[in-house]
Amino acid sequence: MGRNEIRLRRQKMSSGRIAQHRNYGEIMARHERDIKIRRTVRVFLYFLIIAFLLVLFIMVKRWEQKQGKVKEKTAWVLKSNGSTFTSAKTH
Amino acid sequence: MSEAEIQHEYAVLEKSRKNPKAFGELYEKYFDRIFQYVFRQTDDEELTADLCSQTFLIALKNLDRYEFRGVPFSAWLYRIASNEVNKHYRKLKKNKVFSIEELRIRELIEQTETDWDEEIIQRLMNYLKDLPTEMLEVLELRFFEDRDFKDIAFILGITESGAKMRAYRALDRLRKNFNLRIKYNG
Repeated sequence: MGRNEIRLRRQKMSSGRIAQHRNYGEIMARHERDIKIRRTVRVFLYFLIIAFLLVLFIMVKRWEQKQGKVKEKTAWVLKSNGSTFTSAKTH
Repeated sequence: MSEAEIQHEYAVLEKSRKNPKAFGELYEKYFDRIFQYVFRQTDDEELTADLCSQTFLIALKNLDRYEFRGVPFSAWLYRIASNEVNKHYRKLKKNKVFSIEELRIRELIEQTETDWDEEIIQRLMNYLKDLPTEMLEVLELRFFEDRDFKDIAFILGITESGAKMRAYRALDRLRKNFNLRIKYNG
């Protein structure tokens, strides 16, 4: 078996027959549809990125708040421990 | 193609980047040629129509990326069409079809012997069948589409000397095997 399939035609296809397949309106419609889809996907991607950054920002803020509270609590415990220690010493 | 025609095409392309409707002029101009080129590689009218639409759609989508590289705009369309055809065959995992016009073959070949019959055409078909696809692609663009080697190199993504080499090798074999004279001045 050969590498290619060779077929022989008597003549070239006529311009009239080819013209039946010519339809620039359809190409334009498909192009516009593609542009719309691309635009929608782009907007959706931007939305996802912004949402992700927002969630990240909120998480960092919460973590910072949590850290702040832990520090406050530790300071308070240390402070109260310190006063107990000093009062125990005086006795 | 004259310098004025290239300039005009370039102006239409510039306009098309802003307004895709302007691309219709180039679509009308090249549709038949691209259709014939694709049809020769598929032998299927509906499939050719699909691949042609796809070719022009891709061209329209990528107009911003197009830049003049010393070959006419049509070469870029042929390149896209060729890629689309190859993609189709890769997907199907089938051998490529070359549907060639007998009339054109008769025009191209001047027979040295007197009897130009069906048998020699059959032998020619068998010869072409065993020719590597890359060589057939070059022959098709050179003899059926009348493209020069610079265009062929661009369309197939090879060097100009590579395109010449493929054509010469194929023609050399043809001359030796068939004792034919080919109308060729390239």
